[in-house]
Amino acid sequence: MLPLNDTEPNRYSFFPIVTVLLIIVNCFIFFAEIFTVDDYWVYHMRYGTTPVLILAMQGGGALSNITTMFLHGSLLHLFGNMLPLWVFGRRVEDACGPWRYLAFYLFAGTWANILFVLVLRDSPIPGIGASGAIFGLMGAYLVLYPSGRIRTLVFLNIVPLWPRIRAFWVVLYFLGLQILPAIQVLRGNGDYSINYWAHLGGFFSAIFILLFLRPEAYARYFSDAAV
Amino acid sequence: MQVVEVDSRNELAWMWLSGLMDDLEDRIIACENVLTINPENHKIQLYLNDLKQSQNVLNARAMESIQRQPVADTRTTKETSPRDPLRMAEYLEQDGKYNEALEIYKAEAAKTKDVQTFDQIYKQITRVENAMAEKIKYVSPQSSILRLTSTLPLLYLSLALVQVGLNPLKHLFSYLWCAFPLVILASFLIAVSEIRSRHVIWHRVFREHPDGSTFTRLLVGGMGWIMIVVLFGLILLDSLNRLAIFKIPPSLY
Repeated sequence: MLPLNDTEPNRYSFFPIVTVLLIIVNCFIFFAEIFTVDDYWVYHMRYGTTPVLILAMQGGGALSNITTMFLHGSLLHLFGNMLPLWVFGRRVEDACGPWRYLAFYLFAGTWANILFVLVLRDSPIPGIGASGAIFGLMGAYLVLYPSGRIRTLVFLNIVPLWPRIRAFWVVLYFLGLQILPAIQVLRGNGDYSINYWAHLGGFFSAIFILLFLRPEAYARYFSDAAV
Repeated sequence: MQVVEVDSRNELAWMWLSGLMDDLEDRIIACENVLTINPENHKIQLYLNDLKQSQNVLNARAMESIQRQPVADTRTTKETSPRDPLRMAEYLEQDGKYNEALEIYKAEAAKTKDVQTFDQIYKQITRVENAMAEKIKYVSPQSSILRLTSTLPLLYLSLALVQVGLNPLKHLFSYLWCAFPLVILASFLIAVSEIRSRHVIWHRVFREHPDGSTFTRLLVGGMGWIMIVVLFGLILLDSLNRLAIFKIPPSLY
């Protein structure tokens, strides 16, 4: 299942400037990395979130917590994050306004990293990627537009289909994919290549999304009108 | 109307117009014209008195709804001219009195002769009517300011928590916590400048009309942003310092 596009239009703004800028900056940093970085391990140690370093107050601390949201390990990793950033970010930005959306994005990413560090306290492996913040956006989308429709690519055996699926099914599907592996990681026998706990941390930071909404969107949310 | 255009001293025509005009102020003007032409017209004099009384009642109602505001706001209403109905409508709208605001907007739209002003008022009318049709719940500007004030401090707290190694108790006296009240203040300044509503800050601090001028709002918002940049910049500087002296421990290679 691959979300392709949010089919609903914007209400308050014409262009999701911050979402587009985030995508451009992420892509730019990824390609700049390819041409300039020699030792990825050292690079990710410095600018990624490494639990043992964060807890020992070594390295970039809060700065690394932000830079890690702009680092990606492969083209597939980048694509896998930027597509949902576009799909779920556009209307969340519309409801928050540009700079509060950016604040929420960073807030979700920060709480993704915090949960990752708290759960894997002894891990020397740096966590990188925007996925924690993007799960925050997915959570926010679920809160704001549960009945929105997402054009999603699904395969029926080998036949590709792209139906419009209710947002809550899409988001809950991706959330469901995180829970079991996250529990396995907690029990010490999981897959550490994907930062499941960061995804959950980002997702649950979305409970604060109402604080970030623009006043009109907030009033609409409490009026049973579409945000 | 054509008769008046040809002969502006036609008493009968002005009398007709005083009864036909939709707008109260136009009726008053027509009556005054009749009395200028014929000061002995007692019927029109009585009618004019009635019209003026109605106008006073309308003005008093509008003023009353403004004066019903909390104490902090009522001090500022002295500066609000009752002759500025659009601002009055704006205030009523801010208080969630959509019907009364709509009435004033409609009256002003009917009165104005300037196309641009009409377009602006018409936009307001459409907006208020849409809000009423969708039954949009009223959220007071005060609660919006409070809600929006909390966003940047939340982000700051999260970053500060990471900066102190997720152990705030061990670093209780870090400068990061001292800066926190300033982050709240800065965030408040940004929120208050963003939400167009009456606030005591505009009257008390800046001696302006109750909802502040655009310039003052920009000034206050700018101050808030400068403070935010400086305060978040402090965390960034601290991080950069740490990063400059950071060497990866051999055990992590």
